[in-house]
Amino acid sequence: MISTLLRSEAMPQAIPRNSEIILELKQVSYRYPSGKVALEPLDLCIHRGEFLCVVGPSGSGKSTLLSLLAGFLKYQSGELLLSGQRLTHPNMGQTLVQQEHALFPWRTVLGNIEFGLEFVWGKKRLNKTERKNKALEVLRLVGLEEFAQRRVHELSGGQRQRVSIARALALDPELLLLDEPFSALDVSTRNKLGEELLELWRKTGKTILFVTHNLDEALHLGQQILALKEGKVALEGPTEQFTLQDLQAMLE
Amino acid sequence: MRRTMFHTLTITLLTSMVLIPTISALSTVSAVSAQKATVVRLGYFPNLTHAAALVGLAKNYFTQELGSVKLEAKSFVSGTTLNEAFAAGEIDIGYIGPGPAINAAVRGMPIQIIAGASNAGAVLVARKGAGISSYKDLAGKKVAVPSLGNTQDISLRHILKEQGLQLTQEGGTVALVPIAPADVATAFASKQLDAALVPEPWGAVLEQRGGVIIGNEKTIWREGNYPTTVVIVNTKFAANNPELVKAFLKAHVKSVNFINTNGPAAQGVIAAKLFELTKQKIEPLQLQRSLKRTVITTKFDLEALKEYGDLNKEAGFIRTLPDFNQLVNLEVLKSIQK
Amino acid sequence: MQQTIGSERQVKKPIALWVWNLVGLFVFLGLWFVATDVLKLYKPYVIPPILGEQGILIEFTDNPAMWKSIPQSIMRIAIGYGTAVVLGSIVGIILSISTGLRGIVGGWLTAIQSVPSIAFVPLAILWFGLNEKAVYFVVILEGFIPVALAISSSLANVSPSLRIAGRTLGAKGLGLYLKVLFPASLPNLTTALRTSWSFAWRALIGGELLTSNQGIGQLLETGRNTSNSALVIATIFVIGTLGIVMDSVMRSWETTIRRNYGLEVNA
Repeated sequence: MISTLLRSEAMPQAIPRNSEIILELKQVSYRYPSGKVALEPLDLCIHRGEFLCVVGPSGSGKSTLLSLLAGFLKYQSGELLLSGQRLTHPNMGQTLVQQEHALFPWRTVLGNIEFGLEFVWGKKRLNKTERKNKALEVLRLVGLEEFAQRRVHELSGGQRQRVSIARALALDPELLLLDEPFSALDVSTRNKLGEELLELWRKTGKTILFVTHNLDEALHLGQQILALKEGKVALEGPTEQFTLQDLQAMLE
Repeated sequence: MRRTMFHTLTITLLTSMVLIPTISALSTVSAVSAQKATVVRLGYFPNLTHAAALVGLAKNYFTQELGSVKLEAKSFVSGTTLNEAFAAGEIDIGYIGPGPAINAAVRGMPIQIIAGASNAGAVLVARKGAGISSYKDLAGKKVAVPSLGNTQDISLRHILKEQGLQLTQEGGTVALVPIAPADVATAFASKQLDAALVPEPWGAVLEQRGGVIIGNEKTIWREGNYPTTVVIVNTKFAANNPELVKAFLKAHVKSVNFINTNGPAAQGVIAAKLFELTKQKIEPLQLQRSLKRTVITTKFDLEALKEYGDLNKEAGFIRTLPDFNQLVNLEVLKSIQK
Repeated sequence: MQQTIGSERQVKKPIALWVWNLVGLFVFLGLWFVATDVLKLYKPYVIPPILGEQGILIEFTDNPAMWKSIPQSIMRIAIGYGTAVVLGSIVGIILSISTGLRGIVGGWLTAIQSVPSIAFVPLAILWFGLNEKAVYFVVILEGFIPVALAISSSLANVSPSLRIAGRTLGAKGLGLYLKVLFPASLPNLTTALRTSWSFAWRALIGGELLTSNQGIGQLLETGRNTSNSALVIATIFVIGTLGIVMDSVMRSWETTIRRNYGLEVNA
């Protein structure tokens, strides 16, 4: 089974201890150049195959955490290990899906998915045909194979986010980071994509860190919850331990 | 369908409305010279080869002969600009090289050559160290003329042809560049240019600054017996004002005679007029040399003029030759010199 | 009812702009022909007719210099404009890195750009001589500035989310420039490339005119020097035609790009 460990190994619930740790944060903190604290020293542990939702209002530090994990910000204390390696810069091991407008309009849908593969060098290097096949395979996962040759602007908002997720998955990352990927979509599309993401997670067994300010969404999707408030952990644990009211109360 | 027709008609009408005033505006130009002139508009260059014009102006020969009719003299930098003014109907009488005169005639301008003004007066000067000591050495060199299609350009083409040389644009090795004679010295100094065929006094100026005279006035062509400057007249002006043309030519002959009979005095007059026009002082020695290489005369060789025409045609500047019998009319000159 | 409207629309196709352009050209040439060749309203040396010895057409059919000059100028503009674009890109990249640099150098470039290229020709002749180098100098000088300015500003303004997307997917350094930042700037660049083209084209004609290198510009000078207004008009026609052909090629490229990027609403 899949499990999450937050802060310490001694968490309740049936969490199998044999699962490999993918991501480990030890006293990781971040201050803005102005000196203001964005994230207090944080300990966090994510095991392979977990689905963790990070919630919090704006300014809670959830975006900072995501940027640190994606490698766009440099943490100023502690240690951040991905698969046992110190994480210092953006890496194909952890790919990020943003809110919106991040697909490359000069490429077709398929071209967007192939993008990351073009930067894989060495033994894992794929030739053109292999890249195309790999991209098509991932595109099939999100059910958009007939849109392969379309331009980005021809897609709906929901389809675009599916392509964004497929693009991030194509690199086969250890950790998939999602930054409020559905927040710009209407409610029904959001719900539909949420279901699809869950199914994708089950199919691929990917480790997912999902940031959202939508508590309903977090409770519905996440296997584990991490709630942040003013740069500190407000609440953490398996989703089933919390109700919506708990979360709302904690974050107020 | 009907609508498209209507549109086309509208466009046509509108365009015509623009064009017709232009037409009438242009036709007024010729209307001016149809009346008896009260003013003679003269064009010339501040060059030594135009010495007759310079002396005629400086010594008031023209105004004396024209009497109550006013003289408006304009100086031009080249035959090109003078021809433009002539085409626009702003010049009645002019001093110009035979090259531009032939061009103008071929384009159908109302031009006639009524006298010669100078022969020879152009030299080929090489830059010191350019490795040119004879015409043959021009192969692979860069040679300047005052402007394309002008008299010196045509002379240079003649020289090259005699030497069996060709220009780069004809697949040969000699690069021809049009440069104003005043800029040749600078181009020599920066080694951008190897030689130049220039009218006097520029030949003497370049010679004094270390240039080497390769072809003198005699060796360039026909032993010096070729026209460099001629007197032209607008035929419409001549038809309406024969007495003014005659009066002008009298003054022209007077100037030529003065230059040829009063050497040192003429030099002084020319130098003063050149300085007045160009603000450039020409040393007496340079002027002497220049004048020695220039023949100031009212005569010119018609055969040489015809050869100019042939060379001009060969160079691709004109497609047809002018009717030389129409172009040249020396009747008035002859009547004066009788 | 609806069907009728639909079918009517299909029958009445809008007439393309170039058709109107051609119609306009022919009407103009027709009027010219009537005024000069038929009615002989003008002196041929002032406004030449279309046909005949003094005509404009003969400059195309019987003037070897014309057909030698056109390819010469096209070669020069190809080399000059190509170099200008490459140089402009390099300068643009350097400028895009620092806002301060953009402020200092960008101001200078804008100032130079506002000076007509012909003003630089005498300097170019002084520095490079009366040769092709002087022509290339003005062409490149005029051509590279719009490109450099557009690249520096559009690179700096690439949407951060595209930059982040590129980096998270493994692009960095040159790869990030070539595969994310440049393509992302392209819609802004196409307009600059077109502006740069027209600047370079004008600079070329001016440069050739003043430096006496064989080419289209020199045809103008020859026409003027030999009182051949037919040659001058024929040459102007060539300059305009080549200019408009190149401009429309670039414009259609621009439209394609904008459409692909989803920046143009029409399909």
